Amino acid sequence: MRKITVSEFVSLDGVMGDPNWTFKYWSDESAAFKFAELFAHDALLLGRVTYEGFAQAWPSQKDEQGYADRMNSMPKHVVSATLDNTTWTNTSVIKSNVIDEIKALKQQDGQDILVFGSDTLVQTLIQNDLVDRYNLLIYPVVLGAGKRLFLDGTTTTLKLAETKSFNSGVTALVYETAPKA
Amino acid sequence: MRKIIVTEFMSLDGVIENPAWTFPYWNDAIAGFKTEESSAGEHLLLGRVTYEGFAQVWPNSEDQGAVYFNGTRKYVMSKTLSALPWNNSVQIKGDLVQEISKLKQEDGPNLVVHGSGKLANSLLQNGLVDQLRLLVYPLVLGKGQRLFEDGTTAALKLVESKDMGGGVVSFVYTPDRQS
Repeated sequence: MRKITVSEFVSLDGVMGDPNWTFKYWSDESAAFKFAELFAHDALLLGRVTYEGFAQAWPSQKDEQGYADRMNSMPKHVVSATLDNTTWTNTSVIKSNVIDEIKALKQQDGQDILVFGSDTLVQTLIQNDLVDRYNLLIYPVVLGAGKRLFLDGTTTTLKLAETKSFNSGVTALVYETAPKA
Repeated sequence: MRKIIVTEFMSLDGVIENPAWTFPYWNDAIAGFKTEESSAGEHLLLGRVTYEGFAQVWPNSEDQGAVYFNGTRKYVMSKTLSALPWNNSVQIKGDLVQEISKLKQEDGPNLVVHGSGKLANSLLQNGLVDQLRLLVYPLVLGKGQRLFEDGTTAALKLVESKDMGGGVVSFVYTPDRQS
């Protein structure tokens, strides 16, 4: 069964998201982490807002390591009832029966499925016990406002699979969720 | 100048309240981390709720840390506390920023804040924290006092982060005064 990895930049107070405040912490070490992460997955699962941002930014990107090429060529599954513009290469839209469609995706052959950003979709995945792994980059900032990854009322026990600290002050935490039936 | 060190057991979603949920994870590495901050005669700086909880538990404890916790000077930040049942306690009633700044100016041991969520937040909001020590547990608790309340902001520098075993990760941060 394919696993779903939720990959997020997170502040120390658990706020997700808009990675503008992460740029100054970029380092070769965190780039290596992100590279290994992308190449361990062969599909993206995104919400509409994240998809639209990525669809604007990624097509013009190019890098020697091939990160952008993979982002641009790999299959993207977008969960949206309203999305019309799907010009980013290899996009398919999940308009309805979202949970069933995602479960069907997991039953397919292939590598694991990667979620970036997509705060609304992530809450749906969490509530329906569809997350298998969290790849979290913890930034040495406290933001005080913004969407948290784990909302009030969410409870779960995780297993730490890996932790790595980067010289930039960023710490990677990889957690697995309880095995699914 | 005396430093203020805030040390917390924290869930992955930032909850620090009533950390009985840490007990199943206790191990030598965590004991070592806690011993580092509980020796060298450091003083304690606590909020009322934590003070009252500690004052009930520590005097009867046979834990490794009991001699230190019971013996050391403890400052409790509270306008309302009317009794100080715990050995070597001093109450601070006045304005937080003024009183804590005064304390920091003195010569003396560092001041270590355990628990004390509201106090820790106020110290963070007022830029009074010199070191932040966290043990992060592989749990999402969904409710309870958080270390970082809405509106609290900080730019930090990571000093060290270690795998403590059992899924627990330690973090030590200092404020990034350059940002």
